[in-house]
Amino acid sequence: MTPALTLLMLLTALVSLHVGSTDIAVLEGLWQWLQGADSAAAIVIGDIRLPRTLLALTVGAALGMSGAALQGLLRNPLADPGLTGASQGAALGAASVFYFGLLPAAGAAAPALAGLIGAGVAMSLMLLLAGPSRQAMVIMAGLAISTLTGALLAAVLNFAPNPFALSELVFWLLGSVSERGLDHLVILLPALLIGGGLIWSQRRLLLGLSLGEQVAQSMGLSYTRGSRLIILGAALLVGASVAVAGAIGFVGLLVPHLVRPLVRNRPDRLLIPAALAGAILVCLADIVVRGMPPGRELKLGVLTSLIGAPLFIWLVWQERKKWI
Amino acid sequence: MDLISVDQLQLDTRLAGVSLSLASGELLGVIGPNGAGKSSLLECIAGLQPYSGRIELEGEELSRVETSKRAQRIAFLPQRCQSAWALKVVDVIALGRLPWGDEDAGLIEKAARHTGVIEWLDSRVDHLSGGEQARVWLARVLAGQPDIILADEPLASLDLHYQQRVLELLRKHTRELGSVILSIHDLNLAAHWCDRLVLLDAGRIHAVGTPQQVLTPEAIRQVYQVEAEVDFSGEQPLIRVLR
Repeated sequence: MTPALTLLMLLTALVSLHVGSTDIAVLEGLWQWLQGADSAAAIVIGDIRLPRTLLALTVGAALGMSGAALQGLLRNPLADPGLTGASQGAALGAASVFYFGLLPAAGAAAPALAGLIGAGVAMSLMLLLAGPSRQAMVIMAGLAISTLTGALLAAVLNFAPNPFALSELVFWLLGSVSERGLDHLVILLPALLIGGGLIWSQRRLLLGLSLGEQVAQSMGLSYTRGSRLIILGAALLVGASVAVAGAIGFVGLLVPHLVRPLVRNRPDRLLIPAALAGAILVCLADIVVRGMPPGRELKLGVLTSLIGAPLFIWLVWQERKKWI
Repeated sequence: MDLISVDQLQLDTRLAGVSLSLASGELLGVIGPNGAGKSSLLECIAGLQPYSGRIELEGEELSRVETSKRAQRIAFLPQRCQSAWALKVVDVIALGRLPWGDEDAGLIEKAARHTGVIEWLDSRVDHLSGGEQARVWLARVLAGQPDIILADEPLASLDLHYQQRVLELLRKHTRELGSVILSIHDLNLAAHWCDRLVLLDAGRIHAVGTPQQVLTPEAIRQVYQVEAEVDFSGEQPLIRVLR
């Protein structure tokens, strides 16, 4: 399954490099960019399309994997990565940079860096509140911290210094991978590797948890330590992707559902395929965004939500049928 | 040496001064009213509860035994089991190999054959009936080839047929020199199948011994507050509640 999805992801990336307002020989442009030439093709590929494609892939992979991990940990197919409070924390961090001009030394990457810090703070507060947690407490604590950070974010929006700053922030929050550079990847890639590594190290716990905490613990797996590592990993993934690309909804929730049947519903085997499928879906959605008629751009996060929400309603319907 | 020896086990208000032992090849029944501490006792031995007192596994303090080693030797079958995901039966049984870090196909098939679930290996566990699932959960435990099985009311919600099948499987495990601690409500089944019984009442041991020693009308009156007639003279013990 993984090789097929990897191939599909590479194909999607190639298509993504081809799509744009100007017709350009992709491989030639890529080669020229690698050699440091400043031809038009090199600039379009290296400065615009490559960062955009790579960001779409990494953001999608981070969201897909964090969704698979959290659903496995909470044993709940409707668990969303936003549950940890990391998304809202990241949004608040980035918004603060827009307003107060924090971290000037970080340049264009400042909102992303602040977002990562915001996600980290929100996550730490959530873990502190949840205590030596049962899964229900993680959801409650995540909801409480999300609400708090959401309220603070609303306050920041409320006191926007000028309409321009407000619209800039709102558009950023809608979620997009356009107009970002490779320096954003420098933040996202380590977060993907570390967060993904933390989650991957706990895949046996995710499998054991299929039959509940007691069974997992009786099989020698440490629930308290393992669940913290998974939540930390997921927060890194979600926080970094929100910090770089804003809110791209429903990917973390839906991708695991699409992939689960392909891995016989095993939560341990779901992680990598969910990351690959997330990367493919976000990149495809971004290709659709770029293919829209010129004018005001439809934001990537808006598109994923428009597609994701009906699918989510369908999922809830399916779940409901199980209980009736 | 005893396989398991429990000495002065204490768990907040749930267990007080519980001492018992489990020998190789023994089927030990834990009986008592609801809330007597049966599940708590099993959870302590499975390493799921922080206890005070001593639990020894072949002379070694349980908390000092490496968790993976403990999990390889002691398997826990909880009271209620449900898979969060629509796993295939073969994958559920494979879970039993987690303490060993492998998915030995031969042992998974052997456990499935023992429990009679071999024909459902490729079926989804949520498509099976409650009784069929009970055998799959047991197959999961057997696939880990544990020395000791701790089964917490495995007969609850099973019909007569499956109650017998599960008890036969546990007995078979003890014949192959494994041991079982079984918490059970049905006193007739307990008397018939178990080598020894532990009668718990409000977290304390009321009596330990052979079924005949433990299940006296007086003990049943004191612990369950019912009058009962006990007859061990026939082929099968008979405990009948009078009022």
